[in-house]
Amino acid sequence: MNLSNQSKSIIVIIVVLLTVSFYQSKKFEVSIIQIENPILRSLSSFYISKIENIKSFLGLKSFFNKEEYFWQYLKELPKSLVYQFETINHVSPISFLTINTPYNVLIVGDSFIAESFGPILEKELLSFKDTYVFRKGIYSTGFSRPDYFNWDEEIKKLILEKRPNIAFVMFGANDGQDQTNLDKKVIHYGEKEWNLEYGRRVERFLKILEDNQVFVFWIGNPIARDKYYADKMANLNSVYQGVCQDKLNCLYFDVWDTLATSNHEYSAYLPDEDGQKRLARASDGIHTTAFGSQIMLKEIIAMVVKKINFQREK
Amino acid sequence: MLAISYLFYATWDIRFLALIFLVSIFNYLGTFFIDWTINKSYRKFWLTLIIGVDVLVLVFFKYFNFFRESADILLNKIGFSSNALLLHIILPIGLSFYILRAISYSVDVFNKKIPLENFLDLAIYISFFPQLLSGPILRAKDFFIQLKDGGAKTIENLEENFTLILIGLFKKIVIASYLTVNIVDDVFTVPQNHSQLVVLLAIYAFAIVIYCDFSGYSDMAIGIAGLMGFKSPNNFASPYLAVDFQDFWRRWHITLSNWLRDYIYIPLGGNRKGEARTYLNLMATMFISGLWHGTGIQFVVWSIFHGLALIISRFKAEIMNQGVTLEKILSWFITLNAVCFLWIFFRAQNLQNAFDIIKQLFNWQSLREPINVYIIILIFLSFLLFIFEQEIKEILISIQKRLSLFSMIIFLTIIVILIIKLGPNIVPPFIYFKF
Repeated sequence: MNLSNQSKSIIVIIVVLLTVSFYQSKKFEVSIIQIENPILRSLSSFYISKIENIKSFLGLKSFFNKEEYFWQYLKELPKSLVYQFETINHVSPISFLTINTPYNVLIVGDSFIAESFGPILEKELLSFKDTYVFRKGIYSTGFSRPDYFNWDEEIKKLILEKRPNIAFVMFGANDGQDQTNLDKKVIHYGEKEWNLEYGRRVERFLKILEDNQVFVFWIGNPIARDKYYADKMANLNSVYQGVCQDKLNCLYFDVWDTLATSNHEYSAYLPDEDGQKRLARASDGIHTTAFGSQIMLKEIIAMVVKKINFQREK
Repeated sequence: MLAISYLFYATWDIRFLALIFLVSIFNYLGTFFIDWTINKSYRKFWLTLIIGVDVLVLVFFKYFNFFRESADILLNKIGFSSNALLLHIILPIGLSFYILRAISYSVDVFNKKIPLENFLDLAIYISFFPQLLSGPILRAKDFFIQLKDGGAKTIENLEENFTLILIGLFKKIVIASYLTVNIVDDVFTVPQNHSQLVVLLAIYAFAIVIYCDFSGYSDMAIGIAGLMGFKSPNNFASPYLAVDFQDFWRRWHITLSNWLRDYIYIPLGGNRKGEARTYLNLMATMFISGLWHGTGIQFVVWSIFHGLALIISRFKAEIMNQGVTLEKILSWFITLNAVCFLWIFFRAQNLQNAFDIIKQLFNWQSLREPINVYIIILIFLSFLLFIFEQEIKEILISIQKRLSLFSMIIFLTIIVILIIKLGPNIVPPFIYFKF
């Protein structure tokens, strides 16, 4: 058959796109929550869920999971040579009273830690005496999708590598999505069981830190502009707060109202110390600008220094 | 074609469509009046109006947020409420590029280099989707000839276009994204918390990131346009092999350099009005290039240094003997390192951040910090890619030429999957989208 270049290019593009999206559906699924256009988000979600159904029907899920683990292993190979397994002496219970210098601080979380609030917190903590800071923020991650990025495994590695005694944790922006529990049952966001499953994951994460003598400052999410996100963030905050208050090694910071107006509403602009209104939120209505991050930082640091004896470098 | 381009643009934000439509209609009407009248003064008036409004649109969307806070404070000081200015303007993606296309079309119509086009063709030119977001800036005369020739009916070099898309994907997903996520972002945001060696690596890594990110996008845009039957000019020609800054700008973002040369440097007098004026014109052109790129003062600093380096290159070319190998190698080494160093200003969040990075680079008592082996391997491989890019392209093209359609699909699918697998989980947006 003699096809024109035009027909050939159309065939190649369609087949390659379909095959790649089939093969890589898991990777695309994680990014769906970030699509702002609701029609596109629904269409993509529908398309990817159909692919996942086909994979299940054909019994290919286990193959794709193994294949993904292989690539993750390969990509982390040089790092894994560096790590050496060490047993950590368990001395519990841990509380802020047991933390001594040097302060090895770990800051972990999602995009808030990668680029929005994280760098500002890191700079501030570096200005304290005997304080070492390591920040790891990974976009589009959280606790809902350990198949995509497993924070339990990551925190274990970071603990071995950095030996922290304090951690600042901030998650949630990507977590308002379906979860699959240990029985392989998919729990849709909004179902009663969802918060229980999510809470279990947060608790497991905190337990790893607790077992390794790390005190945690858990930062909640600030109010968001769009109701779609705001409702999810508020719900996730309630889970973090609930789990945290049952733990000796965790202190929860509620920053919801820190970036809200006096009427507890969202505003992109907030007053500074002189009463001048300045842009506090990024254009997505979720993240913070440098000014917004400074507002959060001020409140958080004020509470932290009440608990930990941080001293400024002269 | 227009429907596809507008649909593509609307997926970013439907509000952007209104602006691109208004820019198209305004430039169409303006050039219609330029073409309609023979009175020189009227023609000049219309051209000035078109350029003025186009530049105003660009400046408004690009600089509004930058100046808003300063204006806010100033208005408060003189007793006015600033609430009217509490408006957050989102920069429509690709605006900087389609405004340049619109201006070049209008100037070319004014100079009678091209005839007046109908509105539909002009709207397609301004919004042509493969090049809408970050170029390359295809000139109106080259575009309209191809559009009238039927575009998609005449696809040539299928394999070359697929190869460009593959190489672009590789540069963006494997190299640029990995280095951004694993070293550049961390070091450039808080340089104080990194060792001298890691800061140095991050500076070289960013030089690789910006090349792979932008040239990767250009490769893909040229490849996709090629699959629609449109030939686009090359935007990069091994820029890190440049032996001086003049050479660098002949190889880096070529379509922008040519645009600046034809619509700013030459109208300012180019090199026709004496040495001093030539240097001034060079500085002015680079300064405008800096303002076009970004809103912070760090972009102004970056452009001034590049302007000065261009003057030095020009001066050096006039007084020094060319063609000595050792001198060329030394010149290449100095140029490469100077370009990498100046990227600090381009990547920094503000001037203070740029100085923090430089300070840390010379902080001999900085921390000891482990280095990820992958990063060193990737930096090394990237430099090899810069040298052998053309050869790699030719190998990929020749492989595809020997394959049947079915085998070609399998080959391309495997490579795309491998590229995605080798890249990090997160692919940051293209750097030039924010310009």
